[in-house]
Amino acid sequence: MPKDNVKNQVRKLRFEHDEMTQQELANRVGCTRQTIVVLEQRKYVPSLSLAMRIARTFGVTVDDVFELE
Amino acid sequence: MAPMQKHAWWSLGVGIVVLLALVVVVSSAGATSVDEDAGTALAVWGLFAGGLVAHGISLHFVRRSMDERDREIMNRAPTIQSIAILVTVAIWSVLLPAAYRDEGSIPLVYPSLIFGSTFVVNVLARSVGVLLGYAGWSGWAGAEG
Repeated sequence: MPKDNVKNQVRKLRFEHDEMTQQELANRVGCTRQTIVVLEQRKYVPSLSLAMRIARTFGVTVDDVFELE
Repeated sequence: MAPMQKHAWWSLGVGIVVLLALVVVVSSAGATSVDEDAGTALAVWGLFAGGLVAHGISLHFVRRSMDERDREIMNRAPTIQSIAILVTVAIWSVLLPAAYRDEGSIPLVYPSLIFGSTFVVNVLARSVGVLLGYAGWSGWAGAEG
């Protein structure tokens, strides 16, 4: 089964939310800053629940944050 | 560096120190002295216990700050652990009969030493597996991440 390539807008959304820091986002969604780092670098695909928490933090839908290439 | 990654480096360091110290103690005093000499036995089992406590305390504190990625990486580490354990047991099963072929029997202390060494290798391999996971290794089972 081919590996899914998932694009995300986390970096852009952080910028649009008063340049929210990676640590602040990590605290809000309940993960480590390192997970946000690799997520932004597209080296990690989050679970559905983490994706939903990230979308809820930015006040958008999961589709607005993540996109399957 | 993620807290779990720091713990893995700490455990790897502790494991290597304990393993090297055990090799030095057992090889200098002789394997059978672990059974016969109280001082050697105390040194060997003290090293095991000390290493286990150092590893356990670190793991206890790091578990609180683990997230889903840390858990995913930890869940892949057993692939490395199982290989390391198989190799360790294979080495023992080749070396012991070769060393004691003439005597026709193996000293009673060896089952304990086999268990102890396998345990230390298990902890070391787990740390290596975790560190490989953080380095981007995604396992051989097709796991994503």
